[in-house]
Amino acid sequence: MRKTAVVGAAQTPFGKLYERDTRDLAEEAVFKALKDAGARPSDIQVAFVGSGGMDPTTPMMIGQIALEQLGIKGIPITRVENACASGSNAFHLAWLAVQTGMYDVALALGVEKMSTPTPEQARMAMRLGGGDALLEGSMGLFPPGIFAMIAQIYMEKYDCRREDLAMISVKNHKHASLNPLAQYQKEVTLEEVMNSRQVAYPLGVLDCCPISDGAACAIIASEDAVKRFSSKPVWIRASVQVSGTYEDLDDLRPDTTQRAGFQAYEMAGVGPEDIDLAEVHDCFTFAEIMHYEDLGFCNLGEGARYIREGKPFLGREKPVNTSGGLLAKGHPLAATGIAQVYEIVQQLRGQAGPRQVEGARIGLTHNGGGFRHGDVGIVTVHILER
Amino acid sequence: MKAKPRGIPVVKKFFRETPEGIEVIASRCSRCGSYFFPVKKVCPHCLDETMEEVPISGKGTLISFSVSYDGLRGIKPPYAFGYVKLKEGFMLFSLLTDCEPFEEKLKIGMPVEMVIEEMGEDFYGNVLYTYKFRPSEDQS
Repeated sequence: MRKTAVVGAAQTPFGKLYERDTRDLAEEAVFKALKDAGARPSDIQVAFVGSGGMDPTTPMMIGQIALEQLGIKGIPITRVENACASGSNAFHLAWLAVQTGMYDVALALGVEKMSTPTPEQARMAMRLGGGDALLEGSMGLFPPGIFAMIAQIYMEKYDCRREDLAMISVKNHKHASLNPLAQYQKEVTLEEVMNSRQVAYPLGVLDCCPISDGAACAIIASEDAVKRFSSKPVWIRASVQVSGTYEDLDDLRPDTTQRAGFQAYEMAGVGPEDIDLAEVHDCFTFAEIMHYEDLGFCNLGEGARYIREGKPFLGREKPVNTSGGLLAKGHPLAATGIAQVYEIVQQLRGQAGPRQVEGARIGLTHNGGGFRHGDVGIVTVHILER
Repeated sequence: MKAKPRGIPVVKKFFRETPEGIEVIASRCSRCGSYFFPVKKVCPHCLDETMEEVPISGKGTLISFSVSYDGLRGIKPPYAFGYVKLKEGFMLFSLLTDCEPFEEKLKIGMPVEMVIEEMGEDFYGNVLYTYKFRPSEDQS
């Protein structure tokens, strides 16, 4: 395998940014990533642009249009749509492009505009487009409902209580209060989460990630090309993408995330115990509990105890979602996967300010996308090392 | 299970018209016996056009459920939904009906049976029908 590194990373503020559009969000993220790397637009040899297209005005060939803002043109540019994993998938393909030896410097951008025309329209689009629209979305299933159903079985089978779910939201809002780019920089209490408006039983609105706008960008270089840039490289030790298998499972607990995690650990030559911090796909509070287990941070059935014991809090054993995660940093679909990389890069460089994980050496990102037949559509896992 | 619902199907290929009424159909591979919903042409296991259309038994158990407090087009909140494991062995997402109060009536693993019922309207104001499941006494 070719040694590759992230040499530049950036993220715009996340939130309901009514006055901003896809182009200027992309412009800000790409500009900051180029500055971060000390790169010129002409250094970029190939680009992949994640876009879920949630904004009805998002044009076809959004990659070409977004990158032209910064003078990145003429090179191969491809839009990547893989639901909520579009961004990390763009990052994976940028890595793959460098892996082939065909390119030395690649760019991955993720940009999403969800607050226009209205958040209600975005929610409707998520229902019909977030998974199998024909079979499930059109019949009343929506993303919180999927995780609510999995949570129901899990909570019947294992030691997991309503307040354990709520604690995930408390943790991630606490972390987001230290992140100036997060959508919600205000802490919430356990009571506030547990008493929040019901969305899909047992999940309340504070168990759910918000509707968000934002963009994130990363620049990847081969080992030979790293010295062209002024930043401190963060090495990509593993980049894995898998898809769901959609089996008929009585416990609604497919192995898709486990497979992605296992493959990534194998590629990186590390184990879960080596991971100093992680950004995981906490689209809903329960999802994070399940992913502790899937990624091997604890055993099956022990996810709730893991959060109850406080292990994934900042300053504890293995901080998870120091950025605030999807729940509090926000979840502009295609920006999320690359924003996760941005957070890990900041942490591994020691630039995370008040939310710095001391001595962090290895970080993991986990991004999921889409859902059908009880299984997640796409999972990517990345392992980065300083 | 056959019914004579008002309106048009939410998705045409979920259903088949018979002289006795509308029924929900799946594909079964005549070679390996695998079921698929909705109907399709080619069996991915046998890689051949071996499918036959068969009516769904409509008997199953509730794998899990939830209740939505957000509406969807014509579906008024709160409404219940779940994954059902059919007697045939495959799993299906469905709205749940005749089960209020939800948190009391609905239990993971309970027997359920299929009905065909109205489900709101489409963008043109047409009444839609779909399959749903409701709690059943039948333990078989």
